[in-house]
Amino acid sequence: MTNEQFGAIVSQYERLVYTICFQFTKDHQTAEDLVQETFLSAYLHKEDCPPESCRPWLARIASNKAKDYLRSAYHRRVQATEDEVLAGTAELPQAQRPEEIAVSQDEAQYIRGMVQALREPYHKVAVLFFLQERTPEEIARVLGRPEKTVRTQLYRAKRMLKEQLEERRKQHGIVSGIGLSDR
Amino acid sequence: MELFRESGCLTDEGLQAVVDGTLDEMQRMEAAEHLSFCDECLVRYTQLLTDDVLIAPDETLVPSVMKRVKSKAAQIFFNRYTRVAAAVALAMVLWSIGTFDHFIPAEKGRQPNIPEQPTAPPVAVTQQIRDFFDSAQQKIYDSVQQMLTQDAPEENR
Repeated sequence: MTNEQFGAIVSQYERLVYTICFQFTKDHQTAEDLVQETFLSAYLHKEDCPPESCRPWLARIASNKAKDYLRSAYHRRVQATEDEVLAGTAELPQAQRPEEIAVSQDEAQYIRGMVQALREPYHKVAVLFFLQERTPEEIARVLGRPEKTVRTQLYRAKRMLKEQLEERRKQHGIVSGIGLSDR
Repeated sequence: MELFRESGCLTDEGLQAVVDGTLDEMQRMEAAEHLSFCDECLVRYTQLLTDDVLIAPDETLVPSVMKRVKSKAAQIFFNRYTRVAAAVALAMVLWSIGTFDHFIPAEKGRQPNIPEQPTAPPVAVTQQIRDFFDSAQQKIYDSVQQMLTQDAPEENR
């Protein structure tokens, strides 16, 4: 494929790629940057372009670029939140004792329920990992998803479960605190 | 609204919500992740992107895209030729200092009873290498120039 032929493809599919990038990022400047990245990747792998139609091939590259952008934005946000939490807990006088951290029978049952209640695309991944103890490689094979996606979804599922669990523990802490003050 | 079916694929209303722009950031990320590997949903999604839905940037991005593409192409071309030139130069140096002599069988190699030709002084080898690099550099420069001076294709918009 010559530069001229590739230029014709860029002209033909510019609007399609821009629309996909904008629909996922909701930002015009970011969408323009991702259009550049999409066509650059397409150029570097132009021999993979199916001769009959570039449309789905370019749509896949564009959604991949959008996914990468949204993932890194998510990780930056999560990291910032975790840093804040760490900074807030750095001055705690003492760590929890192991027996306080240990998960009780009741809590284990609660966690199983939380895993079952997770929405897709986390439900199947979490059930296979937490309840059936399958490895991410096996889950990727069973569900037909890329292993990296499975690992990312597991990371987010763990985060969701952790947040729910912390919320529950906080509520229990408040309840027991009230109980103590009543004595 | 359910974004995913039980099968793990995107629902019709989920795909329509992507097009309408009504999903939050987390949902958009989940949808983009799914579209990055699911052929069936990608086809369903692109079918929704009809001409009346497509939007265009304020200014066409074709010239800037092609500028980056040409720059990348020149970089790839240059890197490839630099590697080849370095490999050839190294081979010449190794050959001239006789590194490969012991790989050649004795009967086909230098005959002991034939007086050896006086070897070229190291200066001559250095000059050969310099000439080779000058020539290769000129060829690379000419090719890159030719590549960069090609006009951007006409826009079909």
